[in-house]
Amino acid sequence: MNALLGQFLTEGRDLLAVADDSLLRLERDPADSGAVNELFRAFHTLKGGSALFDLPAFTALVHAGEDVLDAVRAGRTPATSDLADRLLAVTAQCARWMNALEAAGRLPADAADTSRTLAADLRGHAAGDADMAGTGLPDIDWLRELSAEERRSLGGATLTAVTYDPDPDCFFNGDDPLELCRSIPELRLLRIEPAGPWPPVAEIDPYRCVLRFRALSAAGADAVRAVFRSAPNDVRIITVRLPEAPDADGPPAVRLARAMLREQARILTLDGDAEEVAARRAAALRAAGAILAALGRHAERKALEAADAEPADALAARFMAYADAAPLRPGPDEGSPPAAARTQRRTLRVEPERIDRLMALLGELVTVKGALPRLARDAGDGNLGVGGTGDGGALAHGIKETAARLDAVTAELQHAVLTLRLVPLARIFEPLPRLIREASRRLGKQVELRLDGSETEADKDVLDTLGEPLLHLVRNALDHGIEDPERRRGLGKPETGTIGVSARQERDGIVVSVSDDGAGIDPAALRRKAVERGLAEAGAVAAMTDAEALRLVFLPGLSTAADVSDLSGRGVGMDAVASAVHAAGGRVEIDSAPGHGTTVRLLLPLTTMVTRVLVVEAADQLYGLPVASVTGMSRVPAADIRRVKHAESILFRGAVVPLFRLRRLLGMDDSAHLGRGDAAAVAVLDIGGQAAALAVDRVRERADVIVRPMAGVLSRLRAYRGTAVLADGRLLLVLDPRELL
Amino acid sequence: MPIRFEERKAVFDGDCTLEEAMTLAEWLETGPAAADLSACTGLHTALLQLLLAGGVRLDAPPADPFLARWVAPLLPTGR
Repeated sequence: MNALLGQFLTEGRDLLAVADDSLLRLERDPADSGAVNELFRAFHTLKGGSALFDLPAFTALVHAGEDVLDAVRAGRTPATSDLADRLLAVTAQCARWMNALEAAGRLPADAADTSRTLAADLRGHAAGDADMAGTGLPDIDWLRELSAEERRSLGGATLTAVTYDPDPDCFFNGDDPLELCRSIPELRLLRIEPAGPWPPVAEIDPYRCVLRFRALSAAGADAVRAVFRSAPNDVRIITVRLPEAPDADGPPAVRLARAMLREQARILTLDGDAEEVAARRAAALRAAGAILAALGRHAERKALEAADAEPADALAARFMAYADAAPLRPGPDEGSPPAAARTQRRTLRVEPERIDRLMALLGELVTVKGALPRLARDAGDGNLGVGGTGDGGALAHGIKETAARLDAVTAELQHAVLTLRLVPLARIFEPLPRLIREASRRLGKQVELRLDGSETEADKDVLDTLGEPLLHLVRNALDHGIEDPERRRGLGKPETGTIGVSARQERDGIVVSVSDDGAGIDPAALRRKAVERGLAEAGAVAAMTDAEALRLVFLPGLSTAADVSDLSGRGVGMDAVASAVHAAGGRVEIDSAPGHGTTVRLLLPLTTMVTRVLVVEAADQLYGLPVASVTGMSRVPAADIRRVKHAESILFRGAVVPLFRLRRLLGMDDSAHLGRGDAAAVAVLDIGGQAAALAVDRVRERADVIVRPMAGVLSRLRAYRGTAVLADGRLLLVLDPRELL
Repeated sequence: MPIRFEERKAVFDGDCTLEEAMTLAEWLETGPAAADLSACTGLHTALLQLLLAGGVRLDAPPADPFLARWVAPLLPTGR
């Protein structure tokens, strides 16, 4: 897939989300003109974007949508629930097409027919309601036929578009359309074209106007309208905002490359002593070479290598020239990802400020690095102190100072890189209102959705894993939680049920909760069903507290509703939710009161890159346990460990918890370790809802680490999530408790 | 005289109005033609559409900025 199409898909999906949101708002309040305008803009921009590619079916469909919305905007067509339905069908179709484009690079074969049917639906609707069938809606097709060059010079600006189809007899009224166009203030574009096919010159009637005019002006609509006072009926004047020319500065990768080249140029011209300057120069040359190589500009890279003796100013100018040169082509890795990548969004949008911050930090890093050659030379020369004390104090001081600066910069850099990946949760909240609307209609239920905390940010990868489970939980709440209106009335509840989805950030991660005020889950029914389906022993479920029994809902193969509905049954169940959340390093909590509702909380790490671990020790080796799965710590006297055959257990917060010994699990000698008088250090873990205690030699500090997955042969050791390096340089093996136990 | 007809060339001078349209149309019927717009400051729509319909070659581009920018590119140039 080319980068331009990728960008269209990313932005297109955002626009569809905006459109859906506005449609729902419009349906609630048909007088919401802000929603109409947003909706119109979304369709309009989609149309412009799709026109850059050869997608006539897509363009025609959104064009039809735009026309209808224009009629709504002008008050010619009322905004009804029925219209919203048709428009939602259009956005849903567009979303499907975008997925097809991403997977196959083209629209499905039936796209043209689908487009015609949906467009006819829309048009029929507009004509029927507006009682103005036949007048036809003004055509601004020509706007999307602008050439790439015209877009580049005009894109992003708010302009007044003039569609002028002069009356053929206008010459008799003294009108001269071309001269009228000459007086359009701030004319940016004028297209003169025949209104129909040219007749042979012998047959042409010189007194009939056969030309039409399309113009764009940077002046306001009123100023332009004044020009056409004499021909108000032949002209359509609207304010348009042309979409930013997509290739104005290249795709994001190219933009970043440009910024980096400019930054390298800046670094080249920084002041400093000769050593520092030389070090910076070498680094900048290497960096620029790498950037050019990544862009596939090998000829320029060669030229740069040949020019490495140039003075700094000349080099800097050369870098700037490379940065400004057009076209900058993205490297081959911008090419098509395999179709198997499915519908996951692979692009990440980053605010320019965050990139700027990275660039600034990179500059600082290079500056700090510049101090190292001098220190190395001092150490090599035996020049141990500037003051001649000869005890190495000054050198040591210099090294320490440099190390401290390096520390500060790398810490900031790490933070800056992590924040690059943070995305607001609004993205996964977007589909929910539409889901609720459609599903509640289908089920004949009345539901109000309350969204809270959509501005909370989380790592992109965490969000990607969270999307599906969240949809499922909301569907579940609607399907199995909220009761029919009659039933609710009978129970003395308000007829309209409430589903709340909220997100907030906590110290160790984010918490997303889905709650409803519906029927709740009956633990007794869960117990019964688990036994019926052979998922648990009768004795075991009887011994469970209600809270524990509720967690049975996460067992694969257990569905709580009496029958499977088309909405939330089949395939994915709560077990899929739980395993997706576990895969992202989080956990699930459930809380339910029969008759009053259910709350499911997903606790997720803020980022998958930095994991907070509890460092423990066993047989002189350090291990890390993800803090997300640790629910408690305790010291248990050896005498309090119960033994039944080989199985050990302890009492923790009033519950019996099985005990495992880390030494034994890892196949190490445990015999001499724990005497009878000692106390065992125990970490209590949450393993998919079950508590388990892990005996270790010693519990140490908590630490934020970057977990690197095991490579090569070691990757098959599933008990380990990966390795990490602690701040003091010691190696840590990070355990995966679920696989370990 | 705003339009001066030479051999196969029409030379437009100053503000050329609707009044010239019939003359131009008749002249165009007689064969392929070229236009010199260098001194043209105003071109009536009727004249423009005749030039376009007749496939008239542009011999000398207009000095007038509006015509040079938006009209001249519509006419074929060269031999």
